[in-house]
Amino acid sequence: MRQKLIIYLLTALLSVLPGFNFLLAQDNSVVVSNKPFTESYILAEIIIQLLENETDLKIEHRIIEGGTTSILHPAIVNGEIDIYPEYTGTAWQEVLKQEEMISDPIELYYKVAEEYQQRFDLTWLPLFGFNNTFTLAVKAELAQKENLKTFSDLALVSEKYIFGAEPDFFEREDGFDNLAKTYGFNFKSVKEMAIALKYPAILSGEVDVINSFSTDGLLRRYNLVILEDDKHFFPSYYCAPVIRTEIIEAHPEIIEAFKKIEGKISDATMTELNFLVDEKRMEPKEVARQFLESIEIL
Amino acid sequence: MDFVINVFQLMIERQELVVESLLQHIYVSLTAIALIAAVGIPVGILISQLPKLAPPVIFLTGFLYTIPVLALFGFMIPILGIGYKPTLFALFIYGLLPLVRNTYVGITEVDPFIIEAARGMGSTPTQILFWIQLPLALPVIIAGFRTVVVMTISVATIAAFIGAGGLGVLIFRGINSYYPELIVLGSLLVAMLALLTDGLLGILEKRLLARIKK
Repeated sequence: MRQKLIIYLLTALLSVLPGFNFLLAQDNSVVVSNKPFTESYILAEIIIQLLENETDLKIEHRIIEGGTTSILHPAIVNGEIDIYPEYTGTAWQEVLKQEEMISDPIELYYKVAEEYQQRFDLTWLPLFGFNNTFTLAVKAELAQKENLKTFSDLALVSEKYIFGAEPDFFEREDGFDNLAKTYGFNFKSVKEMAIALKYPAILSGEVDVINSFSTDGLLRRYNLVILEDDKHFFPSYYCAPVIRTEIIEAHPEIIEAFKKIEGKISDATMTELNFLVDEKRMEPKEVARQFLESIEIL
Repeated sequence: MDFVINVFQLMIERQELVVESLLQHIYVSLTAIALIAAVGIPVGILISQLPKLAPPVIFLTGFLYTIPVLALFGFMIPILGIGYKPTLFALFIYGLLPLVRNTYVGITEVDPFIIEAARGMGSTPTQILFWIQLPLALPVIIAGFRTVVVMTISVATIAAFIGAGGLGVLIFRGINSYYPELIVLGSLLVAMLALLTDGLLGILEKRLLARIKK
């Protein structure tokens, strides 16, 4: 009787064992992480599948749900993660704390890459190709009613409306304060909320204007309209993987792998990939795989 | 009704993720609970014997209890990094207060006449502590422990925030990708895990107390 019990217990234990993988030290694997939104999940999967296909490295995906730049940057500097997708504009302002505005996106990329190398021993790999900049979005009805096309149009009527954005947006150099100053926005009130709650909030009428990403697949789903940044307030946010230099020195084949997808993800492609996950409920892994197949990497 | 079916379908479709998250959740909660018990109960006993220490220690655990967890993560990254360590630390400082306080209260609330009687019969303070005070305080200590267990399992959801996985992964991911079914699935599993564990502890408690009474 007791023997049987032990056998049952052992079998049960063995069957769940793969789930305990996370307990084992995985020292020699490359740890990929990402920011907590759809686009970044997809990019992480693209990075993972590309590396698995093009190199012999062991890859681990470390999911950090609170992983905004303020958490991921210290983590990569400490060597707890090895690679994650970052945006040039974010790195320039939030990490490097630079105030000078650089309007040429390529110049910005090189300057950021140089500073990262010198200060943190981190390397910027080739750009994915798309520019996911900030923009402002309103409901289509509102855009029609007030005839809104540009940020300046919105400034004329802003005192009637409520603005909503995530806490980050009120902290950044290219965030709310300077934006409001540049355009003379004077909103009726301003609300802070988690990124993911902005869409429900604008749908239910809690807020009227939200900040948004230009490649966001949900703009389409919720029938929102993007306004034009007619004074070019927001810098460019081209995206590329940031990796610890130590790792590419040991494995230069990683650079070759990323050269294969350099510039392959346009704004439209990224919006489409985001849409597939957010609206079509596809897994980021699956979306990444289809994309890599479409450009004949897999 | 459709929604409920969707949640169950999701559980089956994402089996791998669900099992891994559940195991991570159990692992991080259990180790945190063990650590809390290993420190909380001795500290509670200690301050019951050294009454001067009691107010500052209880104040300190109370103070730790009030620190918002996100703030804690924010300034601990340079020291503890991300992942398992900061999560364990956070759960530990949140679980300390209920257990230290219950242990302390349980012991100090034992009827002074019983202690007087024991002393009269020649018991040493150590004997009084281990043979009178602790057994009589046990129901209160266990009540505190059960609170800690349920609370820790539920708070362990924040492990996901800092990269230690667990069922919070399902919840955060549900929030971040506008997927209500995923949020409900994660929450249900956390609730079930907490209630099951609590029920199990209830049964153990009854047996243990019945044994002591004999």
